[in-house]
Amino acid sequence: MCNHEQDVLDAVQSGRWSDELRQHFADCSDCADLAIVAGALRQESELAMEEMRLPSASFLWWKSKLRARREAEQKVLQPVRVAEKIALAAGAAGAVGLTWWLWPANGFAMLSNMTASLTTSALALGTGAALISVLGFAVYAVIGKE
Amino acid sequence: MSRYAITGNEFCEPIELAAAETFHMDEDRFRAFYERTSRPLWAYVSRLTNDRTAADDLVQESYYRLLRVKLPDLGETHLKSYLYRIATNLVRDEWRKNKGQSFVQADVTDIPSKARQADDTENRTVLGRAMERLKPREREILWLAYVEGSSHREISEVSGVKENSVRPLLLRARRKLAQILRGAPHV
Repeated sequence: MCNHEQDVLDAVQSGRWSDELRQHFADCSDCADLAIVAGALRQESELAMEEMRLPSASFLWWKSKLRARREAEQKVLQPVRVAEKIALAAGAAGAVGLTWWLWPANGFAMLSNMTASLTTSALALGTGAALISVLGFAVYAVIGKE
Repeated sequence: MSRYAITGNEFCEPIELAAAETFHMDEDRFRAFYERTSRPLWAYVSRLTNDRTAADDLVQESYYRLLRVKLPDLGETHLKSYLYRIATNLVRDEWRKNKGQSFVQADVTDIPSKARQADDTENRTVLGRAMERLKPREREILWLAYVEGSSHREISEVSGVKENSVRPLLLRARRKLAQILRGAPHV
């Protein structure tokens, strides 16, 4: 790189070009390149800064605080959401299990004596649901503490 | 208003407290820093991406990430370098998402202001097209060197290029852009 580079950058900045520097361009392609590139980029930068349409600092600060709070809430509520999903999955699995458990033993009896069978099923399902709720809460408590 | 998001829930942390602890600078310092840096940063990002809407989003995201990151008490220069590094990485992520394709060509007729003059618009179009022919890293280091006036060390910090590689890369990128600009009518 040429020793005159800083002079070229200063001239680009100020817009004042000495004759000596102009003559130097004829012999130094590096400085000629620098003048073209730095001049174009600086002009572009000035135009770009006029176009800026960002929000004010106060608004961005407020928005950032709001977003940070929302993210903190999501972090805190994550164990609850996990526990909810586990409880839902356990409930579905329990219902399937109970159906499978009751059906072979009482299949034909259920068909012939629907009322008795439904009562049995309702009792069993109620017990199962209660157990699953307790289990879900226990899981939530453990994850929540972690 | 309760400091707790879910009143009476013993498993929940005080959310407002957690949020307040996430920022490493106070509002006054942020405001002063933003006033000094937002325009040049927006210019940098908008010209790297050539997409003003993307620049708006990326610059706001950069400030948010700067606020959230846990930093020691850095001086203004280092903080600014850190901000530019975040913005540069976000721009690169966008490039990757777009699979290396450049952003949408900016609409050069949409310049609000007194600066809307035919010559300026023509020059911007030429430079915008010329910049698109450079590699993303070349755009970054040229802008940092000749607009921001960054040292080779600062360019290295922002771009992730080794400090002793900055000089040859800069020279090569400069020659390339100058050649493109000289042949501007054919760009």
